[in-house]
Amino acid sequence: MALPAHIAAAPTSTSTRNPTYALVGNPNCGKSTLFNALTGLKQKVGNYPGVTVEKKIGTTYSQHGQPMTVIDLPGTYSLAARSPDEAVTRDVLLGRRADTPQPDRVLCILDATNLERNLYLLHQILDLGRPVIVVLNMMDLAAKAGLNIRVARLEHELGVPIIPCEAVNGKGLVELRLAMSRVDLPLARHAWDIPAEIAPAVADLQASLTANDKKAPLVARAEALLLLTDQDSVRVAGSAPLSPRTHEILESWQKRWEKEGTDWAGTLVNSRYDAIGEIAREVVIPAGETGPSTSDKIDAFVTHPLWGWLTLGGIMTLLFLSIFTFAEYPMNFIDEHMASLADWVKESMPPGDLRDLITDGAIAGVGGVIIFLPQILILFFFIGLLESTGYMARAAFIMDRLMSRVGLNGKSFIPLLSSYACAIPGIMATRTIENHKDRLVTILVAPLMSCSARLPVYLLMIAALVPGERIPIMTKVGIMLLMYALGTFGAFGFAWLFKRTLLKGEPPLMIMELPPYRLPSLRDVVLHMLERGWIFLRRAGTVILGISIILWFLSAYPKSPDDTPPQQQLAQSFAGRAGHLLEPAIKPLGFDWQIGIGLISSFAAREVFVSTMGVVFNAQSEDDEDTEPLRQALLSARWPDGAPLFTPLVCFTLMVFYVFAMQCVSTIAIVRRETNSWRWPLFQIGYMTGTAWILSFIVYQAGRALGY
Amino acid sequence: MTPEIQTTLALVVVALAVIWLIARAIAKRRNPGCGSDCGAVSPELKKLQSHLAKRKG
Repeated sequence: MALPAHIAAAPTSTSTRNPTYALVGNPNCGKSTLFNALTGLKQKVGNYPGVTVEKKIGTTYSQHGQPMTVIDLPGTYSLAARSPDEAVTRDVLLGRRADTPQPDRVLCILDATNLERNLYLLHQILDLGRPVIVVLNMMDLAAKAGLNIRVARLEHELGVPIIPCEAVNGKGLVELRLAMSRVDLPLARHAWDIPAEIAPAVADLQASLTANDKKAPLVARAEALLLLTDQDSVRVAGSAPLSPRTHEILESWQKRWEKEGTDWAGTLVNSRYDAIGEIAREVVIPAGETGPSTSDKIDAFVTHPLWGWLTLGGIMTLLFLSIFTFAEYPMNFIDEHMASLADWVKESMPPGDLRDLITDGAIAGVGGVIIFLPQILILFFFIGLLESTGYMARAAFIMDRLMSRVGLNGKSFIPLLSSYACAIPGIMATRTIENHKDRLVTILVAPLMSCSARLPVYLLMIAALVPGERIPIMTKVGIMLLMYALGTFGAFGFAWLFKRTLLKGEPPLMIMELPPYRLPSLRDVVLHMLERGWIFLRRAGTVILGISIILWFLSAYPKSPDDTPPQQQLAQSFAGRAGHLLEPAIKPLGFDWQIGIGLISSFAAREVFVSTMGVVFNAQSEDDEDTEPLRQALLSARWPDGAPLFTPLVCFTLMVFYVFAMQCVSTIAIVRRETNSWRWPLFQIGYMTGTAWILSFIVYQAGRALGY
Repeated sequence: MTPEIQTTLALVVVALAVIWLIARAIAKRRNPGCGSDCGAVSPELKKLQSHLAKRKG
């Protein structure tokens, strides 16, 4: 096959001694696994200056021990960028970023199970005229799916080295290293006829990019094609701007085609797809008619519009049922032993402030939180299990239908799902959403998903709401499910509202891949669970301990005369005064000043509410020698008129308040950083806390009117 | 331990807690986010980061 004109003139070798490889590929093609396998621990993780896109650079070694740099670029389906991540990939490959040198060579990872779709990006990369090595990953899965990929034929068609690989199992890495070690790599010889009506524009732009933007001829040609396809719509900080002359040429051609009614971008894309289709037909021998796989059969049920929701509901019920069933005994064990520990300290030390600080501050505060460790472990064991089997992607699929109805971007699912663990990674995950308005909507509603910090609050309230064995366990499960559903539907409701008012726009379509089902790795699931448990314990032993100590001080000082009753002492303390200041605003919700102290302190972190209750109710205990477990202490709490404070209605109202209230300083800080403005976090505090107050007011007042 | 000594020690502990939380908040302002508190960072990456930190040290 003769070389196309634009390739024939190019140099056919590179003499770079320590070459830099850019690692590119579609999302979920195994790029990061390959990067880790190649570079091991020799990685540097940072950010591209000016943009919140992770920059990962690693070092690997050639067969002769020569170091080779590998830059792991964000995954993208095309060089026509639609998000900041994709723009970084495009800019690095085109040499637009001053902070990152243009890579000498490109390692392009293709998912062998979806070859035709993956070829689009490769086709654009081959246009750059850089030496490319193609890694055909997931060959095992392609074989399992019955696909026969003619690797030699693909190599012949493209003219670049093709390395079949299974990055997860480390297969093909030796061959890849050998290919990467080659001093000379052949350049692509893929033939692609640019449509005749577009060719003059490509030539004009190429000439201008070469002359005015100082681009190499082949990079200039690739960039010209890209400018005509994506019209340079997404630019990020650090990306060198185009010269005015190139802009002029681009605009003049666009105006001309608009007049003529030519769909230039569509023509170019279709032409490329035609070329890719031809290659794919030559290379991929599809599986015969073998009928639906086991995964397909399961999916027909679990992604069904009705059965899918019932399955999801059943799984969530099972999850919460396990939490309440299995956690009860270890929870009581921890609760009683914390109380015993406090009693032991009281017996061992003479009365005084230090003893009170240890028992009423540290032990009551930290102990109040760590009794929820068993629930946290069970929750994350189940989440790990669902992720590991591949069910989470199915849950995403059925939720996506609902999300698209409220106008949420399909890519919002992962950020919203992450927010069930913590809103912070959820908000950071919105970086993959290309549309600015869709991203903002997702950031605004993500903290409404019930994060794991709310779990101790819900559990404490459920324990106080439905004490002992009087209420069936399914009621507890139902209340828990209701809280999660309230948060989720609240998020969808507000997303619907914002998409029709503040941030109007059409949601783009999302392509979602459902990975095959697999047996879960118990080791990974247990590791994930222990990791989460350790994080929870570390927080209890650091931040919550610190806050509990300060809360003890605030609830013990200024000191009242010795004969002052404990409740009056607390009322006159700094914390009591702050609670009293807040009381007029929260009394209509059924909350008193003591709960007010908890609401204020939980701005540090929601679970601090639990430790605050521990400190507040232990500080005013009449019994100086015998410490009451927190759940019992709450049940004994009274209003001044002797009425119980934590009635079932108040507990339920408090849970509703916590579902909607924006009470997390870290989340506010991350929203400020991601939106680069104080406007949005302040708006978020206002709308969420306002909604929390209004809904709590409705629940409490309606409950009272109904006689609860 | 006399009540006066206990009061002094308790106030020292409170002061240390305040200083630690303020220092932590300042560090967070420089690098906002959850750090590693929320489990967003994979265990694999954490191992890598601690390894790199040790090497730097």
